[in-house]
Amino acid sequence: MKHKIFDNKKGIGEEAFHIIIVLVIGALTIGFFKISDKIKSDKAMEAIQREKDIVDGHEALMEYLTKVHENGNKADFISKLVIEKKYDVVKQDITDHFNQKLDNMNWHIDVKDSQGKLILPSITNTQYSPQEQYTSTQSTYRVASAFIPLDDQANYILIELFFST
Amino acid sequence: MKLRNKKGIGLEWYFLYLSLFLGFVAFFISYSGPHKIIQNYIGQYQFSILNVANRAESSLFYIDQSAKYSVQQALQQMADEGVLYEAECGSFDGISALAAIAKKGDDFDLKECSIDDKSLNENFLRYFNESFRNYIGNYPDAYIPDSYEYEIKGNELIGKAKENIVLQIVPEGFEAKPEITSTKPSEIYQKASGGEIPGKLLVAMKSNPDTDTIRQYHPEVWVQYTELCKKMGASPGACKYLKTKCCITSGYRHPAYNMEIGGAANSPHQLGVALDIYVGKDVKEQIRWADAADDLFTRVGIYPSQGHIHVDLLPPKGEYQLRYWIGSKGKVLERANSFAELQGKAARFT
Repeated sequence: MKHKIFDNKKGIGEEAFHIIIVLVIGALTIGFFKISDKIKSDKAMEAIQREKDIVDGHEALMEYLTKVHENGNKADFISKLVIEKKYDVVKQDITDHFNQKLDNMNWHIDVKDSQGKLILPSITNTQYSPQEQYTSTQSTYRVASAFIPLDDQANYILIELFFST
Repeated sequence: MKLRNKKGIGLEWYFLYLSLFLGFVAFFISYSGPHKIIQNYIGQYQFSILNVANRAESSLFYIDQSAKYSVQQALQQMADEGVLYEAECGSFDGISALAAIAKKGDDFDLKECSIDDKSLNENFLRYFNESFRNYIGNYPDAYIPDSYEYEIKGNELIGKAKENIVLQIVPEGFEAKPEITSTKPSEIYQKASGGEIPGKLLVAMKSNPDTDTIRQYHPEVWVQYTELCKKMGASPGACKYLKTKCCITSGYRHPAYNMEIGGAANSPHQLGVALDIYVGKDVKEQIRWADAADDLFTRVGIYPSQGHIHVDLLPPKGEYQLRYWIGSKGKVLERANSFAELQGKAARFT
């Protein structure tokens, strides 16, 4: 093969062989750094996006909890419903608000008690098709959380908002 | 100068290869060097500050909510128990009296405890403060001060904190590396808390059993635990679906959770320095593990009926003076002053 390259009829000689090697090494080197840079910049972009999600998520959660509801706010409303164990109403209210507020995000919300146990199953964005909804295999990260006191002084509930990619 | 060797390869190619190689090395060094822009992307620190600000906002929200509920509860209590926080004139049927008449010889001595607007406010604030302190004392994500200057303006209650909120800034998934390198339990607690009993940890439980909080706040306990597992040829970790020897059945417990499961009121699990380790119900096996743990922890308890041993790194003093014991469901059945005594007493449980 090498013999053919050197002594072919078109007169491509030794120089061509070296030029090819130099070009290949150069291309591989540039390619390596390009790919490496791309990976690093993608990671940085992802991290920045996550931080943006955290800002948006926190804003959405606080906006919801401080929203006026009856004689108080949504936090009072949820606190009261949790004490009365009306979990379906909690789920519906949270779903309605966040479906509207974060319609383009794959979010889910966990409501936990002070021992870290889920009070009700994770509330998901119902506007997403089932295959796109939150599953444990996806990359999920917490973007916001808030503690709501209950009227018994000793316990609280924790609301956590997660985004999945 | 000959530019071509015998094989006909020009020297210029060697120079080209060499310069390419050197260029590659130089580029690689500069690339993998202090590349701050990629390692710590622009705005990372600012976002970290923003995250803490978010947590502070959540804390303030919790304080507002707690204050609101405390006002309701204070008014309710005043209505139920009378207006006075301390019933100086005594009480009748659980309600504080506003006046008391006592017979003094042939005369009657009248003591009045009636209140004006100023003392009404003072009494209200005492009820309020009691309830409010209970709320904020349970907040798991920050230290919220419990000392306030209050002012009542019309329908508003304004509270001005005398101290700042303290938030611990720990990145997600952070695991502290223990500063204490000693493996001797007495040296560990001496260095960790100056030989004093640490205070209760008030943080949200991350899981159940919660080992993450222990790894984060008391990594020295985790180091001793992994050493114990290594010594006994077992793997460390929390007990999940299957219980294997050396798995943890109980780690950090939030005080509310400890109360719920009937743990001892002064349980060191609330302090984040104690672990319950599954070793099986066989008493001989429990003693074998307790013996191994004795060199690594300050206090060891065996629980044959539950199948775990309890270990912690508390200075053995005050209410935690007991070094060895046999327990069951949060209660101490037998006490021992030495490991030999524990062994002797454990024989009765076989």
